[in-house]
Amino acid sequence: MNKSLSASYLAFIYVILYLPILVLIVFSFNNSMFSGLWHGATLKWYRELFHDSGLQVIAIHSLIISFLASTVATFIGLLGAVALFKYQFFGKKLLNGVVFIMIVIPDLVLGIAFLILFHALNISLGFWTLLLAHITFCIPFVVVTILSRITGTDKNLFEAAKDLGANDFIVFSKIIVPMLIPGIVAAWLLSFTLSFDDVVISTFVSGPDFQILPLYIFSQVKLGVTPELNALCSVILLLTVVMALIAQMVLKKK
Amino acid sequence: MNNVIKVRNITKVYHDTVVLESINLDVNSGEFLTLLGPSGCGKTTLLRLISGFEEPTAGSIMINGRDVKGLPPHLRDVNTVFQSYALFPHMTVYENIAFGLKCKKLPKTEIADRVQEALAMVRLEKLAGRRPAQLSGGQQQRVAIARAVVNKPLVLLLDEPLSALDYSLRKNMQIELKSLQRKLGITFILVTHDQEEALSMSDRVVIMDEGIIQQVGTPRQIYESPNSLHVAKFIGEANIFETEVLSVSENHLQLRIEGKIFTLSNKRGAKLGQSVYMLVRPEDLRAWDKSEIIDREDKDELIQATVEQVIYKGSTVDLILRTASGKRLSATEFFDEDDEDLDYKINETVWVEWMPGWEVILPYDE
Repeated sequence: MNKSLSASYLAFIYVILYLPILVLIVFSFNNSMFSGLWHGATLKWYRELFHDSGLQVIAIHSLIISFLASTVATFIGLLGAVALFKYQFFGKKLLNGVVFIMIVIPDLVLGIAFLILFHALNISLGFWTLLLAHITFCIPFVVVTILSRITGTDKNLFEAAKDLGANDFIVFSKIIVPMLIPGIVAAWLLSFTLSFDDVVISTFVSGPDFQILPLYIFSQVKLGVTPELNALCSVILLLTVVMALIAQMVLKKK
Repeated sequence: MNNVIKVRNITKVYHDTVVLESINLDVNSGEFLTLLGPSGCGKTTLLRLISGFEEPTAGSIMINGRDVKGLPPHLRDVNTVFQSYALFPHMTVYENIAFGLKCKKLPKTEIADRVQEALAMVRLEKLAGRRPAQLSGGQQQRVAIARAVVNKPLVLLLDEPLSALDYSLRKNMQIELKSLQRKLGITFILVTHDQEEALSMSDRVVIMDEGIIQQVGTPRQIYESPNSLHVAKFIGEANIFETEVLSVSENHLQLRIEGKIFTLSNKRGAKLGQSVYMLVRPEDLRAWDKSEIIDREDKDELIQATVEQVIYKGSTVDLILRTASGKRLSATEFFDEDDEDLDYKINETVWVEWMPGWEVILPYDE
């Protein structure tokens, strides 16, 4: 009795979590333009998707922005986390606090702030503003992820390395980074996904010359959900799952 | 004998707190020196000043005849074994040991040879490919030592290296460390708060307290002739009697202890009327029962006490005694040919004595 109850409860939760995604995938194969009913399977929408060169450009834009933003943010965030852990300096507490504020600050506020800033500096909206904004909102997540990994590390490790003749660069590259690889990978993946599906901030800082996927999908949905969009989202889902699996494998090996 | 390390007038102040005050210390080449003291006495700070992780507020340190002021740790010909071992978790045993040599950019073949040599020395050849997490505490300890000595330092600094190990392993490692030190001929400076460890391993012991050196000497000197009450209390147990010097002759003095007059040799030039402590170690106290004392003519000169507790320890029996004046004494009796039958009963009266000359007489501390 108790067992079947817990099993059905679990099933219920899974249905709530994954049914929408399942519907999306199923309907990306539906052989009908508008209908919510099943009209038989087809790969038509995927074919159209892969022939839509305009969409491909937008997808590549998104990948470039996310890749660059997560890479730069991971690098800056890594340095920041190591500094916060390893050194005592003026304003350390303030910096720590600001990092957490950045995480909880609403995207809307951040987006408008970026818009005002770029406007004040007279920078025209486009690739660079998008990239800068994405790097900025990813950094605090990187800092927090890596800091949680590095906290509790024996500080004697750094002294031991110095005692054995390592300079600061060797300590960083041969001790700190290899020890933190799982955290660095996790931070990069987190940044990538945050950047890849950001709509709110991107709305404020993107220009007409540089379209990205989330904004494109958002604008298309206003005209109605097409099976082609379903197919696009399914592909993105597949990519995400593959990335998560790769991440799992990397983390397990270490 | 030349001094590999000379510490001169070292003072270290942290945020207005004096951690070390005017420390002078010579370390002989090839000796096993232990810095012993309670936590917060400055022993670890002294070690860190020698290793170069900290700079003294005043004074100088010479290593191998060279003033090391401002020199970073790796240019000092010393290496440190940390209390937590501080092994690099993402490297194998081999890589850990090779790290220092790689930093020095030695040729690969030389690195391989020296690492193998170090591995053999600590008997870990078979575990070269393991990660630290896959090793026991004792093995990690040996890796930490190998990682330090592979650099061929003049002095190896060990910061409480055995405190993380359990009792029996610690005993084994003490013996191993000592024999390793003899084999390598490297000077070892060990920091510990464990007096037994200090006595059993060291050539010389430095007793520290509250930032100053209290006494330097061989374990035997420290134990048998402590120069202050603090040292005597810190090293082993002691029965302490507070009294006054009743009379002084050429080489002797008289003290009243528990109502009896004792004539003892005056080794430290105590003066008439001076307040002194007299110390006797528990193992130097002999407790005789009635049947053993009955025939002795001098039995009235012995201190009488009642047995309060008998603690059987296998090779010894520890007694807690109470004298007529209420003073608590502890005595350790050994099973030997003089006294095969250590059969003490609680509340039994015993007569206590010690070998004249085995006591220590110290002036009152200020």
